[in-house]
Amino acid sequence: MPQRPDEPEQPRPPERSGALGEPVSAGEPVSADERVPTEDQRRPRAVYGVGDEPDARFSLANERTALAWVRTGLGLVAGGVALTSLATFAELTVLLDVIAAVACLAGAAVAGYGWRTWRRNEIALRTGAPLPAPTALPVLAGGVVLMALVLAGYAVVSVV
Amino acid sequence: MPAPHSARPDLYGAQPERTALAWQRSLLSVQLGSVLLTLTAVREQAWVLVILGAGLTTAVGWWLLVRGPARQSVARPRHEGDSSGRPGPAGGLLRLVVAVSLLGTLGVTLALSRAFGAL
Repeated sequence: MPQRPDEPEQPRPPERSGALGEPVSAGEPVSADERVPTEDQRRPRAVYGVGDEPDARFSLANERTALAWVRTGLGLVAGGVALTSLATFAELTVLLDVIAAVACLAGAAVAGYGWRTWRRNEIALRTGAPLPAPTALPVLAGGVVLMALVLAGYAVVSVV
Repeated sequence: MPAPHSARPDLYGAQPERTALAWQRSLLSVQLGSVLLTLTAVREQAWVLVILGAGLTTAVGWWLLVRGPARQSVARPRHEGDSSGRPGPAGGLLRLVVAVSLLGTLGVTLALSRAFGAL
């Protein structure tokens, strides 16, 4: 149907062509190079609104690193819950419950740090800035060592 | 024998399966932790914690089985020029952090309640 002169021109879908210039049918798969760039709607905008899209491998590696942090936090929480379970079933001292509470709190904090570090790393990847240092790593290692020492001390005192 | 890789040629080397497995490990760990907490709360007859722990277990199980984060992660194209309307990992990560924090809060509540004789 011919378009009337007073009507605004309707946007037409972009045409795709095959490797030799022939039109591509609707059933044919679309290769990565043929995809039409569209507006990025991912959230949070504070992350996806800056810089350029990084290599997918780096982005996926950042996602796995964040998941590893969350699992580390979860390990602390699970250890705390297991400790208070043990104290419940074996009717052990209150000290173990306090240690369990500290472990649970530390686990929640580490999980939150995992979220924060994913954001910071993703922004750094997108902007080409240097990756931030894992500042929580020495704190986490020190905390785990301290907790192990306290539990070992408790075990020694209980046996003696 | 060819090396295992993504079924999508444009995601060779992106290791989406590895990321999907990391998601599954994380969700299974949350579920195991919440089951452990629920069982301990049952032993202590802390019924509020039992309900919350069971709710968390159910929610994570639904996420694991129904929502299928593994399928989403494997199928999600994330390369330049094709990111419209597809969620990044931020939402899932945030939900996971909230679940772990909730589990930690319930664990603290259980431990301190037992320590100070509230149970």
